[in-house]
Amino acid sequence: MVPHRLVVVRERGFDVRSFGTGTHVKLPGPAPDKPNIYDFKTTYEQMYNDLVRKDKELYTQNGILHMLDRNKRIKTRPERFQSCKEQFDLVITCEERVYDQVLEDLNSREQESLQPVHVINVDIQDNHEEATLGAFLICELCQCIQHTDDMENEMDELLQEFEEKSQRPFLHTVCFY
Amino acid sequence: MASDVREQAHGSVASQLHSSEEDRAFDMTTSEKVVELLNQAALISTEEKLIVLKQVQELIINKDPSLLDNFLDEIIAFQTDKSIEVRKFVIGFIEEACKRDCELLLRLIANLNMLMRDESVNVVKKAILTLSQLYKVALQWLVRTKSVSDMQEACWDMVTQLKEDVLALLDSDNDGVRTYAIKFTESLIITLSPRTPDSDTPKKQEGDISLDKIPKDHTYIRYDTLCDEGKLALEQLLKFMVHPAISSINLTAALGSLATLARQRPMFMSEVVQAYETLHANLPPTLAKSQVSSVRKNLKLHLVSVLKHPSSVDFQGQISTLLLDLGMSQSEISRCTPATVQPRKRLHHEPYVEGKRTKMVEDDDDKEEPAPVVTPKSSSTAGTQSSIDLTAEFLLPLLNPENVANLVFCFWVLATSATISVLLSPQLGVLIFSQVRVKLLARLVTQFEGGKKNDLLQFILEDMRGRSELAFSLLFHEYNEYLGQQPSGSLDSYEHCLFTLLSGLQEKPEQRDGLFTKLVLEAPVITDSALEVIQRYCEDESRVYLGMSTLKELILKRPSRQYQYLNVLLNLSSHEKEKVRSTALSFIKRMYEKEHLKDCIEKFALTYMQFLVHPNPPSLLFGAGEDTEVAASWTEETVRQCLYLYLSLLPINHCLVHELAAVYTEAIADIKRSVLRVIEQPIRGMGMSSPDLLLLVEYCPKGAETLVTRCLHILTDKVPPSPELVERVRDLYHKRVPDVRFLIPVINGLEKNEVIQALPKLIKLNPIVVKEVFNRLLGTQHSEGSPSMSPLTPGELLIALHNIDSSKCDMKSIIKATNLCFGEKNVYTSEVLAVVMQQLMEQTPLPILLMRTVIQSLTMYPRLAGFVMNILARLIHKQVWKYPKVWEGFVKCCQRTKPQSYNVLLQLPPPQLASVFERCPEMREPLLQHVHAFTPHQVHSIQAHIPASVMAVLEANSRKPEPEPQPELHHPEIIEEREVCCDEAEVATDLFFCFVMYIRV
Repeated sequence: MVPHRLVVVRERGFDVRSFGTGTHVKLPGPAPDKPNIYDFKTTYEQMYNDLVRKDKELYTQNGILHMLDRNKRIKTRPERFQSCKEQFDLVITCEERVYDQVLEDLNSREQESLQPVHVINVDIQDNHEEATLGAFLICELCQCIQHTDDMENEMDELLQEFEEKSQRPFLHTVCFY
Repeated sequence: MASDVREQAHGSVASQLHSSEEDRAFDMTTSEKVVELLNQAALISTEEKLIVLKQVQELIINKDPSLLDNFLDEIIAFQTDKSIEVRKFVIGFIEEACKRDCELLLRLIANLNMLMRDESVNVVKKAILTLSQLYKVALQWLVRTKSVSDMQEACWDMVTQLKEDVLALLDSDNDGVRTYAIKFTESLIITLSPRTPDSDTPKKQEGDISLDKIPKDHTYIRYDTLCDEGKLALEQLLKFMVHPAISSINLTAALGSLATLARQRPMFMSEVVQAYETLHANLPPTLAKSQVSSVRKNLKLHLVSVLKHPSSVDFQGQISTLLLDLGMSQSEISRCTPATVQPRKRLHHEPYVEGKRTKMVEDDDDKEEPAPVVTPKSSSTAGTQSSIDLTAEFLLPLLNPENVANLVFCFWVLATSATISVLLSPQLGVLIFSQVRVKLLARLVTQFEGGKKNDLLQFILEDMRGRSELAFSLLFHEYNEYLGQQPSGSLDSYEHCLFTLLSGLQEKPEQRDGLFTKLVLEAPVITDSALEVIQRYCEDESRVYLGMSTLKELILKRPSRQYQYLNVLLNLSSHEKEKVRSTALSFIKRMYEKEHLKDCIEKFALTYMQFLVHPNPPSLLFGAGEDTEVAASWTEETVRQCLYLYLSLLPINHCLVHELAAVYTEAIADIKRSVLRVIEQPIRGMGMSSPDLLLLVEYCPKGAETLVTRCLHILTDKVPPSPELVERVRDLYHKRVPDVRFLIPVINGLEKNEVIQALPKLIKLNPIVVKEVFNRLLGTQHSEGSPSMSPLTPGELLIALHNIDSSKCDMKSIIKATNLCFGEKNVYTSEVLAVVMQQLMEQTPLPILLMRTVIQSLTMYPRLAGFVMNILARLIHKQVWKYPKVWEGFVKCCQRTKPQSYNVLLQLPPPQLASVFERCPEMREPLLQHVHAFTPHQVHSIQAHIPASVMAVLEANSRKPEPEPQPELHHPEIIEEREVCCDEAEVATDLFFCFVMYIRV
């Protein structure tokens, strides 16, 4: 379902943005080995039209058109994390591979302000049920973090509670802008 | 950053303000605009305020900096704003302003200093970030200034002080603050160390100041001082990292900082790599499982970034070992190793790449194996002949134009029976060391006598790295020789070869390329003398990790003699050098998980621990002289030596704790004391849920009471006791050992009545212990976690002390205990004391210490006077004079509280009033005057109506003295009281009168 595997959260405002980390945007195609591939310059609108042209029924059925329709109302095109120069307080990834990419990117940037950014990985399998459960879990996590008085001091404990509750290990680290 | 968020989130508000702004902008000067914005800012909500302030900042810092000075104070005034975000904005503003105009540091550094002490950690954190920047700005500014003014000196002194303050925040209680302090320390170390040509400096920091740009003859800035401060900061950071309870995020931040240091200041590469090694071997036990994964992932990432730096060349061996341990494959590691620094870089052409060459050696060996080595040690001619034959056999397929020249040369050497020294002559350095020649040489030499072999070995050792193939060849040939002479063959020659090579490598400093490990792991047999060299290698602090990794490989991969190898490692676990010991322990801990090694390790640990029951330490502990009789007595050090291994196994295998208890009961007092000192970490590691610890508490063996008590204290030092633990201790106390000291660690887990019952015994203990009991009960104990719940409120505790049956405890102890309560002014507030007094006063009979407590409360809180007057009046109704001690205190209290107490005194029945005057005659006259001063109106009020009998007592002086007041002894209760606490009562009276003085002192 091509969930965005990366969510970033900015403190207090709970201002959420989602990003991709790969080199391209991949959407499911007619077969597992035939995905639709776009670059990050392509707008959701263009993808939508492209898929309608290719096989409207298939992409309506598997929900991709619906997702693109929703996405294009939020922003014009997908964004790539590595190209985003804004600073965040918290980045949440849903796959270890993505977590690694984020860490690699953040560590390769030149440090300047030394402003910390916490990166958390919550492994979520790429299927519908997991994605739903995962979405709730991440949402709850964000809410809890938002309600802490002192995020950085309470994060450790909070994550351990969540780990126990959700029975899945989290990866957590801090990088600096 | 946060203001970015605001701008994003409230863009609409921003644009509104902005557009209304622009409408008028045409006929407004920037200055007027700023004034208007500042006026707005005073009135609007926080979110809008931030937007407006940001605009002001833009205007006066970027658009028209000449205005900066004018409006500085107006902006800085927001530093006391109630919003955290606004205060953070002010800090950001200070940073930008000072960057724009360094002179402003003179004024603004004091503001930063104030904000650094803000009550909100988020403000403090922002201030730390800003100090990271301004420290550099200030330093650069001062260095530029030729003659430094007094103001500038003061400013720099404050910057230095702030720097110290932030370094001290590495010990902050707040995880986030510590993280920021780490980053500050990193930046400080970079600034206070010289940039070198191999420094990897980020583009944006190229203009930053660093130690190399600081003149050594500056009038105020001292190069040496800064240099020392930088070194100290590095030490602090390294020390911070090895704290056993470091949080996962702090550790992560510190790992990153070290990588940055290694890349930007390669001079610290060695410290950094060593710190990584130490950390890897000793991950803090407090980390959760997933945190360990996160930390290891980070360690890997940072190691790779360090490895990619060209200056890591000397540490590639160590880094690769760590990366392999962290699960990276050899090929991945090679990909990250910088190509320009291939260790085998030569001027001449290399026939094979390294990996391939090694493979060739192995292939060749395989091919050779069937070829029997038949030549026994005989004449050199015969040996040479057969060698040539053999050589020819395996050379043929390898012949090609490239190496023909070499072959010719080799055959020439052989044909003329030239000495090996020709082969080793320096001219050869320019020739290619082809595989073929290596083989030849090795084969040749094994046929020769000792002297030549030594020459060859020395030749190899001169450049072990370049001549390692020769070394390996030689070693294998020696081994083949030995096999060829079976069953009567001797290993001597092989052993000599291996020993010489290994000790040569061991004695050479700075050998970091893993040759030693390779040689050990590839040697067909490890002889005893070789094992000794390996042990020596492990004892070398700079190579201990590499040495022990090698030893570990031997233990795991050479099962035939693994116990012998394991024994070497076990012996190192009590080594006198801390680093050797701790590394050995961490290796052993990992091996302890292996079922087949477990018993052996455990047996060793227990044997050592059981030494402690001997009257003297066994000679084994003193190294070499194992046979010599040592009559030394036990020292802290020797005791620890016997326990290191045991204590590191204990947190892994809890049931070992019973062995400790058994040894403890038999050991002498000195050893007991040492044991109690060293068990803190492991016992804490076991935790209070450990079934074995609970069992130990329950069956506390006779003689191990102090051990159990110590364990209880360690377990409850930072966290409240668990119900299971409380239950076991309660059982122990009630059924087996009725020593009240057991209860102290779990006191907050007991029921209220249990604590009250134990109080008389508790307060009779040593004063330090009593203090601890009270700290626990009052929650004034220093603890990191949440305050534990005491079964008694502070008020209840003080009341309970008053109600202790004086037959169970002497009055002196009770008084001291109440004094401890009064010492905690934060806990015993006037409200708490008022409630206590109220409740005590309502009791019948009145507690003997009641008035003492009243007076003491009054001394602490004079504003309780009104309340106390009420108490006194109520006491008259309770016929306070029937309780001699209380009555005594009552009179004292009235004396101290005159003139307020006059109205209370006037309520006393005449005999008691007379008794008061008898005790303090000087009270009479003022009281009489007080009555005379009543206005006619007052006289008629009920309150001030004075009966004639009272007036009689008041005026007694001019008449005959009143008869003695009623003797008080007719009250049975009181007689009893007197009899029981006669002596104590005396003491109580003494203390009663003197406490006021010492409280004031």
